[in-house]
Amino acid sequence: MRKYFLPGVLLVALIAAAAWGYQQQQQKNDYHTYLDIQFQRQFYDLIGHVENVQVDLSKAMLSGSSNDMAKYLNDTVMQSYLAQEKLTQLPFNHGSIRQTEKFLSQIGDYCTAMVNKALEGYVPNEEEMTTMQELHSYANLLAQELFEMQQQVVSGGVNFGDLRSIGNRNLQQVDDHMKNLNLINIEERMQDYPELIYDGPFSEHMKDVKPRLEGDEISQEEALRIVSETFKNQGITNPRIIENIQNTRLDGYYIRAEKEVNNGREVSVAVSKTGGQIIWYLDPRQMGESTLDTKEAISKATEFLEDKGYKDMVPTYTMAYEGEIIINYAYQQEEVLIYPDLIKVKVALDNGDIIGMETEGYLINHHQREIEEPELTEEEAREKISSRASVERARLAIIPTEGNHEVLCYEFKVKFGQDNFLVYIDANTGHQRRILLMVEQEDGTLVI
Amino acid sequence: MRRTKTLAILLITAMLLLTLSYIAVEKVYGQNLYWGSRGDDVREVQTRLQRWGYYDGPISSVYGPQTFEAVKDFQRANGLTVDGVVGPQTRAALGMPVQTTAPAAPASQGVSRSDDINLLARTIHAEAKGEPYEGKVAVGAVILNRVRNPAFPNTMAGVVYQPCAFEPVKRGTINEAPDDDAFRAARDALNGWDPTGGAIYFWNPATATSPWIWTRQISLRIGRHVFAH
Repeated sequence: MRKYFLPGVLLVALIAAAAWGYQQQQQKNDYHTYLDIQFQRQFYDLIGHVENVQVDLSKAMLSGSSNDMAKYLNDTVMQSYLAQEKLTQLPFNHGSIRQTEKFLSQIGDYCTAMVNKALEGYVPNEEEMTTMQELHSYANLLAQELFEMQQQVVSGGVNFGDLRSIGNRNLQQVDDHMKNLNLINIEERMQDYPELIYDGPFSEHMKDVKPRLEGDEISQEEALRIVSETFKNQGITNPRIIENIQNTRLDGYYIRAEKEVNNGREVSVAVSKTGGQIIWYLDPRQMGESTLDTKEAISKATEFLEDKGYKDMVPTYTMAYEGEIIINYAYQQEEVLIYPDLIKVKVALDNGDIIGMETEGYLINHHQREIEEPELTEEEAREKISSRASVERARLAIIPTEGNHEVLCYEFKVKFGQDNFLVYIDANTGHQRRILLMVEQEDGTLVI
Repeated sequence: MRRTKTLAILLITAMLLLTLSYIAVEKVYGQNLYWGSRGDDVREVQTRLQRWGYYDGPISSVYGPQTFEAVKDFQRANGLTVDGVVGPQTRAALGMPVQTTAPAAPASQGVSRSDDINLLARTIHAEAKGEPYEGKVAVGAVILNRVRNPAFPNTMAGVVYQPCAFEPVKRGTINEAPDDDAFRAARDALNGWDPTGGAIYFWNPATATSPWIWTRQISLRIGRHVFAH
C-alpha cells in the first residue's frame, strides 16, 4: 500500500502540471493572436491613411479655388495625423522610423498652415506649390514601400514578428530618403488641451530660436559664485559643478549645493555659460504647514526677482499645490504685457522660501521691442468677439505665434457659458489669433 | 479502498491549487480618487479624515501627499487594502455615497489634465526610482519634449505607451503607484522645468543595449541617466 503512495503523488502532480501547461499555452496563443490582429489592423489602417494623404494632397494642388483647396488640405491634415498615430503604435524601432514619423506630422503641420492661408483667400505661390509637390512624392514613396511590405508579410504568412523585422528593415530605407526633406519650421500641432491649467499662457516658448541672451562667457568659478550669491538668503552652501550642459539652446553648468535644513536633500541649479544667468533652480525639500497666502507669496517672489535685477516683471498666473505655489511672471514694456519673456518662481508656503525658478523663456526671448501704435482701437477689436460672449477685461499684450513670430494683440477676458476664455485679437488686422480656455480651479488663478 | 481515498484527496487538492492559481488578480478602477484627483469629493474625504484625526493638512480639494498618507492610515486602521486609493470599499468605510449621482444637466465645462499628471508620475516613478530629484524632473521633461516633437506621437499616452520606447511599460512596472517625489517631479515638468535643455532621449549607460542611441548628441548626465537630443 505505502509503496504506491509516492508514485501516486508524482502522477497527480504530473497530470496537474501538464494540464496547467496546456492551459498556459492556450492562453499565450490567444494573447499572441489578439496582439497580432491589433498590429495587422494598425498596419492596414496606416497604409490606407498614407494612400489618402497622397490622393488628397494631389486633389488640393489641382483645385482651382482656394475654398476647394482648403477642403482637400483639411482632409490631408487629418489623414496624415491619423497615419502618424498608427505608425507610432506599431512595434518598430524608433531609430528606423523617426524621419517617417516626423514627415507625417510635418505634412500635417504644413497643410494646416496652408489651410489657414487658403481660408483667407490666399493663392499659394510657386515655392509653396513646389513644397507640396515634394511632399506628395514623398508620400508616394512611403505608400509604395508600405505596399511592398504588405506583400512580403502576406506571402510569408501573417505574423507580428515578421511584420516587425521587415518593417524595421524596409522603413529604414524610406527613412534615409526622408532625411533630405527639410520643411520650413512650423510648430507642431499641439494637443487641444485647455492650456492654462499647468503652464500658464504661452509658456510654449518658440523652439529653435537663437537665444537673445548676451554677455561674456563665464568660468566655473564664476558660476559657483553666482549661485552662492543668488541664493544666499535660501541658506545654500558648498555649491559644486556636476556637469557641463552642452548641445542645447542655452548651454550652462549643472550645479548641486547643500542646504542645511533639508535633511541632506540637495538643491540643484543650472547657470548659463553666456552671461551667467540662472536657467533653473530646484529645491525638493518637504513642505511644512502653510502659513502664507497667495498675496504674501507673490510679494516674496516679486521681491526676489527685483533683488536679482529682473525689473518690470508682472505676475500673471498662479497655481497653488499642497504647501507650494508657482507664480508666472511676464515682462511689461510700455503697459504692454510681453508673454514670451516668461519667468516662473516657486515659493514655499510654510516660510516663504524661494524653492524653484525657471527662466528659459525670458533668457531666450527677452529684448527691448519697438512697440508700434495699434491700428485698431480697443472698441474696434472688441467688435470682433462673438456677441454671445461677455467681455470682462481687455488689455494689450504681445503673444508668440506659429513660425516664431510675435504679434501685438488685444487680450480679452471673456465669459461664455460656464467657462472663462482669453481671446486674442490681432491689434493691427483684427484677426482672431488665439483662444485659450481657462479651467478654473480653486488653486489656479489669473492674477492680472 | 484507502488508496483510492488518498488519491482522491490528493487529486482534489491539486485541482484546488490549480484553480486558485488561475484566479487573476484584477484591479477595477471606477470613479476612484487617487493622488492628483481634485474636486468636491476630495474635499469631502479630507473633511471626514480630519474629523476622525487621520488628516491634519489643509482642506484643499487636492489629493496630495498628506491626503495620500491619511487615506493609507485610514485603510490600515479599517482593515482595507492599503493602497492610498479611495475606491468603492474605502468610500463605503468613509461613509460616503458609493454611487455618485449624475449631474442633472450636462455641464459644458473644461476638463482637467489630472490623469496626465498621474501617467507622467507613474512613468517617472518606474524610470527614475532612486535618481536625484532633478533627474526625475528631467525624465518627465523628456516625455513632454517628445509630445511636442514631430518625430514622436502627439499625446502623452501615445509617447509613454509607444512600443519599444520605455522599458517599464514592457515590464508592467509602470502600473506601480508613484511616490511623493515622482508626483512633485511630474508637476514641475508639466510646469515647464526642463533640466535637460530640450532632450528627447535618455538612457542608462549600464543597461542600454542599442548602439544607435549613442549616435545622439549628449547634453548632460544626471545621476545614472544620459540625456540627449
